[in-house]
Amino acid sequence: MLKDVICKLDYSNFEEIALVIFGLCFVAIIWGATRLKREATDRFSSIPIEDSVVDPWKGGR
Amino acid sequence: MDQFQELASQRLRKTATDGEKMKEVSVASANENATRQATTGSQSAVMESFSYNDGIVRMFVTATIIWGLVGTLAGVLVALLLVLPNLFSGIDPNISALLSFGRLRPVHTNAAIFAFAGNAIFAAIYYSTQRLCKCRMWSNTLGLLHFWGWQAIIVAAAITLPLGITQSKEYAELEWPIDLAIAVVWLGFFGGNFFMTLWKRRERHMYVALWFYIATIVTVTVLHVFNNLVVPVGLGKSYSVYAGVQDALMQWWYGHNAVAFFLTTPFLGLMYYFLPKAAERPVFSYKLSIIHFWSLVFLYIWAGPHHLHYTALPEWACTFGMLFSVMLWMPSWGGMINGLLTLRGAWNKVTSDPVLKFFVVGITFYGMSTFEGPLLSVKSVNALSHYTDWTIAHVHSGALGWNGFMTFGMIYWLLPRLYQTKLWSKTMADWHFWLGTIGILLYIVPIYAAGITQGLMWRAMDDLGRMQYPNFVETVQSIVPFWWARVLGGSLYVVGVLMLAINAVATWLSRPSKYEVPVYTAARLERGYQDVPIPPSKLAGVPVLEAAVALDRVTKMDWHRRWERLPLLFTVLTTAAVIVASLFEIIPTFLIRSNVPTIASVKPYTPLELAGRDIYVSEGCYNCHSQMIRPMIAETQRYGEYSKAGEFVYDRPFQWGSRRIGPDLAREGGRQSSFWHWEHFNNPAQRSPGSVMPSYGHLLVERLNFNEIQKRIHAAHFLGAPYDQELTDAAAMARTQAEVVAAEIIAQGGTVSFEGKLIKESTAIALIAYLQRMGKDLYRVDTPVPPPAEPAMDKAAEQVPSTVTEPVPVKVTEPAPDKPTEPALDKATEPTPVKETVPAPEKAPDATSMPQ
Repeated sequence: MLKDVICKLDYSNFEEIALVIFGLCFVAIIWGATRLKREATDRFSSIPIEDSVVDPWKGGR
Repeated sequence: MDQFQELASQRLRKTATDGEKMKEVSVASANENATRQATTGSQSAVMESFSYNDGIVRMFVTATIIWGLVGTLAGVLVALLLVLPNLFSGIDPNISALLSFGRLRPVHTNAAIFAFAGNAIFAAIYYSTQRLCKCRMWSNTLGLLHFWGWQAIIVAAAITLPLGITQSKEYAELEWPIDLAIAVVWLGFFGGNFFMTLWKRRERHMYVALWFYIATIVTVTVLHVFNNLVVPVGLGKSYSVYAGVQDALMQWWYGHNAVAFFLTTPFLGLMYYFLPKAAERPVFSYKLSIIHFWSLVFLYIWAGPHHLHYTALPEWACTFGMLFSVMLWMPSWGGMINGLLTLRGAWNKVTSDPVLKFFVVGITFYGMSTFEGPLLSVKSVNALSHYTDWTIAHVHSGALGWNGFMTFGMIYWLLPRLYQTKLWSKTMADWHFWLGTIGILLYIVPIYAAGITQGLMWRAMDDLGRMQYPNFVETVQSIVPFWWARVLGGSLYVVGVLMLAINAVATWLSRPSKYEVPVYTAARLERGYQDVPIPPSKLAGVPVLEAAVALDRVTKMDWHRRWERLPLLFTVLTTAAVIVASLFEIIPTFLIRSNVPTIASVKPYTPLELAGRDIYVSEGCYNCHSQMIRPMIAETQRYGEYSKAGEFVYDRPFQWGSRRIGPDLAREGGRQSSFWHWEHFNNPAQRSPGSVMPSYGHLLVERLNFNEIQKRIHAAHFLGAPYDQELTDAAAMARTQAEVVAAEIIAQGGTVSFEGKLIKESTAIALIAYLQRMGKDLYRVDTPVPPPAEPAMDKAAEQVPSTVTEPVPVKVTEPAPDKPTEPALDKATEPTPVKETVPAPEKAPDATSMPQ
């Protein structure tokens, strides 16, 4: 079964598929990162220089 | 919603334990209770007291300094061996054999990467993970097992590599028993301890440094396991399950990502934690760090094939590697900019604080190396730079500048905190910084010049289209002055490391009699934590498709923010990114047969040649000689017909090399007489004046263990080599071929015995048999064996005739199981220009004609 599936795959398109996968993930990550509120990112980025615990949702969205 | 409150309770509780003075001085953690009430309605908060395990950090810092000295000293030694190849010529050949460049270079690289940088990242991870998780490392025992296990692995490497026990894969040289130990120590002890600490953490949110640590642990495990799949032949010998092109792809998939996930991602985690601490200000852009992280993870894993441009690796894979390497420039510089801009408003501190000085220069070198890396991955640039010292300069700007300086900055920051006293000498730290910086520049600038000089000389043609520098030694001699400058630069760098060691010892001597152990308090994380509900979609009730409403809700999920508090999901996503990317590259290379066009005339090595090949591997010849002729006029003129993928189907491991301190050997077979090789091993400079190759005189007197060959033949057969008679008579066949080679040497002017030992029993004979076979199969014509002239020699010729000048096939009854049986090239596969370009076989030259 697995062998049949593997045999039927067209590997010659893997480069293009890989580029598309990368492109989609990259766009999604950039989009997700830009949606973070400054208040949240300020708190997260201060974690190493503070002793107190940070709550991920402090201040809401 | 904002019910978040600071508890900030200051308590002091003194408890003596383990000889350390417990002192609770913590600012207690934020009150999760308030949050919990807001999200789950729970009323109780379980406050826990804890202290950090800094003892393990002290141990790793100490090991980092010690191995830093060893690794850099080994580097200076191998640099010296290139300018003084006869440095150890006066001592016992058996001892000088242990100190040859080929055997010591892996000692240097392994010490620098896995001992020095390895211990540095462990120190960084153990220190910062505890602080970022508000949690002690999960297990003291696992920490100790990790520390001592890793040191034992390093010691094992330092013993086995000079002894010639090696897999010969760059940065993966260690043999399978040590590889197994690495897997256990890395994933079992270190990974287990890290992930359990993450699991038990008290800080809900995972800071960006932890993401980089997760990626490091997961990816290095995957790389290590899959690149080191071997069939053991004995405790100190194994054959890779991959052969030729596929082995090369796997190796450089590993090799490049070892740089990425052992020397880059953990150091970026280090940067994201220690730089804000030292500068006392948060990282410049958290959003940029998210993009930096995921881009690196997505991109790095594809880039390995750029190490194999113009080789027999399929071109699509090389182009793919180049494309992703060029794209890597963006996130790498994003990270560099993020690091440097973290110092905004604190640049005045840089002038006075040696820690920040090291960090700034380290990050700058990161930017420089990660700009140069994509540049070198571009095919046209790579055509010039590959196999030259340019690559060495590139590597050292990263290793000495980025890894070294980030480590030194971290250690200078840690020393007063770990030993709870002042740094012994800030002035000495400043001196270390300047000596190190000058040392790096003195190293890399001449080596860049050397690399470009080499590359240009190799390809230089005169007006008639002939090589301008046909003698390879001439190209080597032209860069020797640059190598001397490197010795000077490297020595300055070592002096800097020595200053660090002195400073560390002096700081340690001024430590208090008992360390204070601060006790911190924080609430345990609650299992039923719920995120803030997703707000309703603005599209609800609007006449649009339901899919649009669903998409709108997904976009409001803030999913990355959720991932950042879910270590398991985060780890799975990182692993998936790495594995999916790897499979997209590796599967086609393994499964599309046209990627490795079969050449029917290519046969497995004879038993003696196989033994000789193992000696070639053991001596580390690949450190100076490539076996890959690129399809360029400058190379085909110098070395012969360019290499084809199908020529390497029995090469386990592949021996393409990455550097040419000596000439390429892919078509060495028949270029020189066997006697020439014998003499050349004994005294290379005599046969090739100006050669920097050391004497391999020990090969002339060492006895070959013929009986050991049998099991190697069986292992090769198990992996697909179509052996027949060799499976039962390997030792006898090897002895017979050795007699043929010895007879050739005697006929060409050699003697029957050397230093009282018959030459036919020496290891050199096996190596010569292998060298004389190299690259000849492409021209092999299956012709009947001529009738014997003399009984003794006849028998030998029938069984193992491949060292004579006209190649005759060994007895092979069936082809490799996974290869077709077409007469010449596999025409069912994609066309390759082999048939059109194969020249007539070269005639064997006389003993002294060919330049080397």
